Formats: sequence, structure tokens, C-alpha cells
Amino acid sequence: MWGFLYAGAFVAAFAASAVFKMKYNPLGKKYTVAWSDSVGKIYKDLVYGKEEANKFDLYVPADTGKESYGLVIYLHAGGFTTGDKSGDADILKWLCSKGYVAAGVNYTLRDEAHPDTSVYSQSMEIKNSVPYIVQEAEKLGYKLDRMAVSGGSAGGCLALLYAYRDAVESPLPVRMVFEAVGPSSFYAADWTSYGLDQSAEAAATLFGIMAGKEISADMIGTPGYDEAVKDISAFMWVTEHSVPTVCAYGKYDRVCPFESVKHLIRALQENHVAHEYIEFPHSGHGLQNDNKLYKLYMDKVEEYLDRYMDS
Amino acid sequence: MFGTGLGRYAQNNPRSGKERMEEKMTLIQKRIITLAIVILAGIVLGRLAVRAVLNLLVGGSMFGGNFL
Repeated sequence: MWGFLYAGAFVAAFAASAVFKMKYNPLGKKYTVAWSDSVGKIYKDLVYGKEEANKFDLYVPADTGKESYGLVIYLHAGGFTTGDKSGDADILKWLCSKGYVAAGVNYTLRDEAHPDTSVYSQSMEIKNSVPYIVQEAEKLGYKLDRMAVSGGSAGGCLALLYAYRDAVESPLPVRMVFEAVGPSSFYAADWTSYGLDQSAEAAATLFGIMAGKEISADMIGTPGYDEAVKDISAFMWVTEHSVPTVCAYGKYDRVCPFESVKHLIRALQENHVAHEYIEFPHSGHGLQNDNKLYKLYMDKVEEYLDRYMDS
Repeated sequence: MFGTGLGRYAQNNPRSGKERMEEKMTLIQKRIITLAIVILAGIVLGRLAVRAVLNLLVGGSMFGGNFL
């Protein structure tokens, strides 16, 4: 009888512990908003372009009394092939609760129906969305005069591209960018987790698809290669005028290879760009094993928003 | 044979009811301690299992950072 009791107790404890760990939110309720009309309103699936995915959700604060508002765009993750703005509702609500107009923007995903989609074309859709977001916000009575851009993973990559490459043409001055685990460089030698350091052909194929250009294996390692991937390599666009940045990466990341991060950090340091780089020493792409550092990352995001996005 | 041996043992080592009761309580205590250890092992292994699976999916170390 005691044998059964031991076995049952072990299984129950194992299961309960596993469920608790899976459901535990390291940030607690700090970034969770009890949403209601007193916080803001959500306008869904507003159109910004002719592609089916060219839609954005707008989260506008209940307080309509300000002269102007800051816009924060958050771009969803999904490996450039999956994901939706609806998955970021929590962070968008939180941003809106801080008094910003927040926007989650969809972009055309690369899939069987859209085989020509590239990271470059996605970044251009994001770039084209901003004037429509500004217009829609103004129609609703929110005059926007500054913006921040943010995202995670694929969204982080696209956020960095907008912040560093496209800010000069932005209808709103870009004040800062924050992102986590977004790839910012595409050198085969760094993408070891994909085996691309071992195969120039595979590297040329993948990065050519991502850049939307023909890249051959013998271009790898030449200046011609840098030119070919520049449009999707955010770190190449960092200058002394680039916007303040908060970014986070995991040392064991195999999806956005950790080795690829060094180019961005070096570019930010060499150009003396204000930035906070938070390295998660035990985590991978999910930043899942360093909860204290995740709290630090969000603290820094808030600090930068307060410092650079206040009117 | 055993009955005889046990009987002889009992004859040579008579125990009071109180001593037999104390032995019984010690056995229950041992079982409770074992149960506590089993539960603790379940908790630890449950957390480690989730960490292991997540690490397989997205990368990460088994130890360090978060507690388990």
C-alpha cells in the first residue's frame, strides 16, 4: 500500500511542479493590465496596405486630453513565417495603459501562398504602415508627435531595421527601440546552430531568401555579400545618430544565434549609441532561465520609455 | 522452525507493549520521511523536466539562473 502511496505522491508532485513552472509568470502582474474602457479602446484590423496581412490593431488611451501622444509599435515574433499581432495584446495593453498609442502591426508572412516574401519586403511593409497608423490615430483624435518601435525575435529584427535604417524617413521622430532576440546580422560563420558555417551554399540560399536577392555561395565573405544583406542587417545601419536601444539576448540561443549578436553590440558601442544590452547567461531564445534579468530588461524598457518618450 | 526461533527470541528478549508501540511509531516516522523525500524528488524532477524540454526547443542551460 505504501508503495502505491509513494508512486502516487511522486507523480502528483512531479505533475504539479511541472504545471506550476510552465504557468509561472516571472513578471507577476506588473505588466498585466485589467483592461476596460477606463484604460483605453482597441481598434482591430485597420488596413494599411493592399496585401491581406497589411492590417494593424490600434490601442488608444482613455485619456484624450493631451496635446500630443507618443506611438509605440510592437512587432510580433514568429520566424518571419508565423505569428499575429493578436499574440501581443498584453504588452500592447500595457503600453497603452502608460498613456501611449500602441500599435500591433501584421506583415505578410513567408509561406506557401507567399513564396516571394522576404525579411526585406516585410520591413518595407512595416515602413509603409507608419503613415497609415499616424493618420488613423489622428482621425480618432490622437495627435502623434514621437514614436518608439519594438518587437521580439522576427519582430525584433524588423524593429531594429525600422529604428536604424528607416528612421530618417519616418513621419514621426523615432525616439528609441527595444527588442529581444531579434537577428541583426547574417554572417554564415555565426549561424553555426543552422550548420551554415559548414555550407556556403546553404547560407547563400537562406540569406538570399531573407534578403530577397540572389546570393551565390562564392559571394559569402566578400564585400558584395555585405552589400547584398545590408538591407536586412540592422547593425550595418547603426551610426552615431541611431536611437537609444534596449536589447536582450540569450547566450544559448540557437534560433537567433548568440554569436550573431556581437556585431550589433559592437556597432552600438563604437558609435556611442545610448543602449542597454542585457545578456541572459543561462537562457536560449525564450529568455526563459534568467527571470531576474527578464525583470531587469523590462525595468530598462520602462526607464527608456520614461526618459525618451515623455513629451 | 522460525516460529520456534522467534518464540525463543521473545523469551530471551521480552519487550513491553510500550517498547513495541515505540518501534511502530518509528516505522511510521520513517515512512513519512520517505514520503517527504519522494514528494521533494517529484517537485525537483518536475521543474527540471520542464526546463529540459524548453531548453531542447529554444536552447538554455540545465542549471544556473532560475532556481531549477
